[in-house]
Amino acid sequence: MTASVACDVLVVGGGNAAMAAALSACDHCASVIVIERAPKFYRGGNSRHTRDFRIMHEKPTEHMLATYSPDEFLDDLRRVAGGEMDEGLARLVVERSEALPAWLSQQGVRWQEPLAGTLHLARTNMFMLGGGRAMMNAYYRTAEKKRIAIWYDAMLEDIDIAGNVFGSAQVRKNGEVVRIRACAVVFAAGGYEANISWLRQHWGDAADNFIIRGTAYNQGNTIDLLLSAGAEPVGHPQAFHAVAVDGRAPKFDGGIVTRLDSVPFGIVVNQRGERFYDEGEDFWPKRYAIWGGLIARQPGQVAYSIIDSKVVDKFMPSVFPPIVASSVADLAIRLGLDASRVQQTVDTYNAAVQPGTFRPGDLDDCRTVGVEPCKSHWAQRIDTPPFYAYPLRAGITFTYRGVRIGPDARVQLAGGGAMENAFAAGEMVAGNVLRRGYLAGFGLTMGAVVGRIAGEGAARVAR
Amino acid sequence: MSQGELMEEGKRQMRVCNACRYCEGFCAVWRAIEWRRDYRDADLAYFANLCHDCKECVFACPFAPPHEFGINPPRLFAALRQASYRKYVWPGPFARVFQGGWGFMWAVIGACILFSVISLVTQGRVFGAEGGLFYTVLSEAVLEAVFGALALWLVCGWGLGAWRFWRDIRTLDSSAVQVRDILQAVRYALSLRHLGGTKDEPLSRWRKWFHHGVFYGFLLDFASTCLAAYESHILHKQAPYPVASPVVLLGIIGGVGLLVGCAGLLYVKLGVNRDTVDEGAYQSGRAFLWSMLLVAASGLLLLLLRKTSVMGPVLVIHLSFVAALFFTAPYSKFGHFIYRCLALVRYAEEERMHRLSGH
Ligand SMILES: Cc1cc2nc3c(=O)[nH]c(=O)nc-3n(C[C@H](O)[C@H](O)[C@H](O)COP(=O)(O)OP(=O)(O)OC[C@H]3O[C@@H](n4cnc5c(N)ncnc54)[C@H](O)[C@@H]3O)c2cc1C
Ligand code: SF4
Ligand code: SF4
Repeated sequence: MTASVACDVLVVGGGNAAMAAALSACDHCASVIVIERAPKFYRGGNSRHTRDFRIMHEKPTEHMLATYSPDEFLDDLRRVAGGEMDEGLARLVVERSEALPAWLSQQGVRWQEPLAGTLHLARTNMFMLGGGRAMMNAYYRTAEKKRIAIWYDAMLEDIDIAGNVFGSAQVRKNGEVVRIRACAVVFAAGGYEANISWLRQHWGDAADNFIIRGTAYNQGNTIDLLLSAGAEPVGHPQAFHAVAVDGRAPKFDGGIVTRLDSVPFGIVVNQRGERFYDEGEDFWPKRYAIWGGLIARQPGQVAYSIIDSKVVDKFMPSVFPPIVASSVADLAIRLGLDASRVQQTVDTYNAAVQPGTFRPGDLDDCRTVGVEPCKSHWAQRIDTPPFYAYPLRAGITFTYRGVRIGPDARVQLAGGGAMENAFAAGEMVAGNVLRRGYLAGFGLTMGAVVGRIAGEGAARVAR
Repeated sequence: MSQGELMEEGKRQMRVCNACRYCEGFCAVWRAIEWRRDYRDADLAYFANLCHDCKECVFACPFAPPHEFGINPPRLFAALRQASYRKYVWPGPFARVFQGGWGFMWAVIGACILFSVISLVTQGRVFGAEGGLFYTVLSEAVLEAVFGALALWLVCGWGLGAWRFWRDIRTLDSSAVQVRDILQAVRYALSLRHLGGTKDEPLSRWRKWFHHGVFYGFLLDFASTCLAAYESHILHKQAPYPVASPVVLLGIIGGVGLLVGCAGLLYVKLGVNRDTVDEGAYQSGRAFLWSMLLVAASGLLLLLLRKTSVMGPVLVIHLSFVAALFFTAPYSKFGHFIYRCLALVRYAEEERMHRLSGH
């Protein structure tokens, strides 16, 4: 016989969105159980790898400079959204973001003064002291104090939904099956970026070569269960956010440190030793996120960033040391590439570099002429040994596919109408606002805002 | 882990941290890491002595064990601090023997025997001295000779260690230290600004207060000893001093501060997560706290019993604890403040230079 327990509000997932929902449900007088699929150390999914929230503010604050108006915030979202955005929900998130810092501080989250590494975002974004895992620790500490039940190693396996009413959930907890009956439920179990076999459906064998930057536990079975139960989908199944990461990164959970910023300072070649995209198209933070997709489309899903000693200390230090050689041909051999092909690519590129003044902080006038693809900025000859290379792979941050929600965070049904007592938040509903593109810090902000709405809504249903 | 392996492991962890930088708001160590791209062995010793072991970073780190990156700065830095005390101390060869608790115990036993023998030979007795007259157990000249030699030993050990450490952590392009760097470092040190704790280890927030107890307790006891020397040498007033005299009052307050501070720190240590500590450093820290505790407790006991017939043995035991504390000082955790202060001076200087250049 399976054991069975009951509570007012069940929260599925253990990241930022889930804990925001759990704490706000608790503050609205509900008894809450949180089920987190991961073991305790890995609690908090991708949220444990994060660093900052994007926050609207009409006045300078203790931790943020100048102002960031709702309209500017919305404009920034529209710019990255590529024409597909739920304006209503976006505006709601932007407006409610202003109250987040105070609420999060109450939950024990601490903030960092704008420092060297964070200064360029100090007007729009707020940085958690110690980053995402420190934030998750604060969330969990507060949840424990408020006597919220937290189950680790507890995975949602099945849901019992009749019509538009959620009844109970089947959970595998440390290998045992438990049924949880709840008056309301909040789903906040992240995306499906760690589910390689799903990625395979759209990317074929290439998916085996992807690196998953975050948790291995976001397998997306919750999204699947909801869609099967009649929820309305949002977002394209093959869409993901991916950046260039060091090819030596671990398959999962390499987090922020595997990112590489060397691309604009040299050239990038694929396995055939050929360049394939303008490395100097725009500032790196703006182009950072297209390189994951570019590399995912190269043979073997790998590429190599090649630079020389003139620029080796011009970008954020890398987690793994670069591969070094005294000549381009030697470097190619170390990388397992065709030396004469790579030499030819570098020679052609070098010959195309025009004179200019190298200014890494600006869109400078160092560019190439007569080489395809061109390099529009920061093009300098690669000629000063030793030469350095980093292998690159596509590092997937998150997926966009999820379920549609209303402004009250209720799960919407494909056949029209909404679930009565089922809410969703976080990465699994991110596609409601952005179906492509990304704005730094928006994931956490939307997760916490919608999570709070969902938690409060669930508590109200439960009473 | 050998010295070389420890350094390699340190550099590996620093590379991960410098690519991450999430901890930069926690303490001084992180900015010092960010100011560099490559790390020398001496840089690691510098970081390690800036780290005040608050543990904030390891609990915040998504890459801490069991993650395959295995990032554990407090444990790494504790091991590196131990290694730096061994590397820079003079005379180095005895470091391994005297760094831990056993070294202290051997020194105590040695001192006990020495004092008892001297007492028997020069005064003809250990027991039965009257009326709190300490010099009837061990003469003033003997005490001066023994503790004078110990003071010299300690100053040389610490001084040479300090000099070697300082020479090593600076580089050719280091700027000259200015008075304000030293003042800044003193401010950091006296306020124990960096000696926080973390909510992830509930007791650790008390560390700062207990440490203040030990530090100021020690200073008061030291002041009491100096005052006693002044009274006896310059004013020719012989011990025992009345309870209400400054010498005894300072001694009592300092002794209580030491007792409470050491006991508190030992208690806090019981609650630490052993995955975040270096076992060698943990044991040597504990040994030092016990040695301080024994000095303070025996000192207070001596005050209580000074008018009784057991004064002699109690005095011998107390002096043995003090002598052992000083004898092992170059090797024990006692010297940590020197390395820390120098690291803070270096940090203040670097901070000033980076402020000037706008980084
Ligand atoms: C390296 C990295 C850095 C990032 N930095 C930032 C940043 O600085 N700012 C920002 O806004 N965003 C950032 N993001 C994006 C951000 O991580 C996400 O937007 C956000 O964390 C999503 O929160 P969430 O609560 O929806 O999901 P998650 O935090 O991923 O939580 C999902 C949870 O659900 C659990 N779960 C999954 N399946 C089940 C199941 N079947 N049963 C029970 N539990 C389940 C998982 O274990 C996990 O705990 C970053 C992402 C990565 C990978
Ligand atoms: S300790 Fe961990 S979280 Fe902190 S800087 Fe190092 S790698 Fe990053
Ligand atoms: S343990 Fe504390 S003092 Fe030491 S490096 Fe980490 S944050 Fe800094």
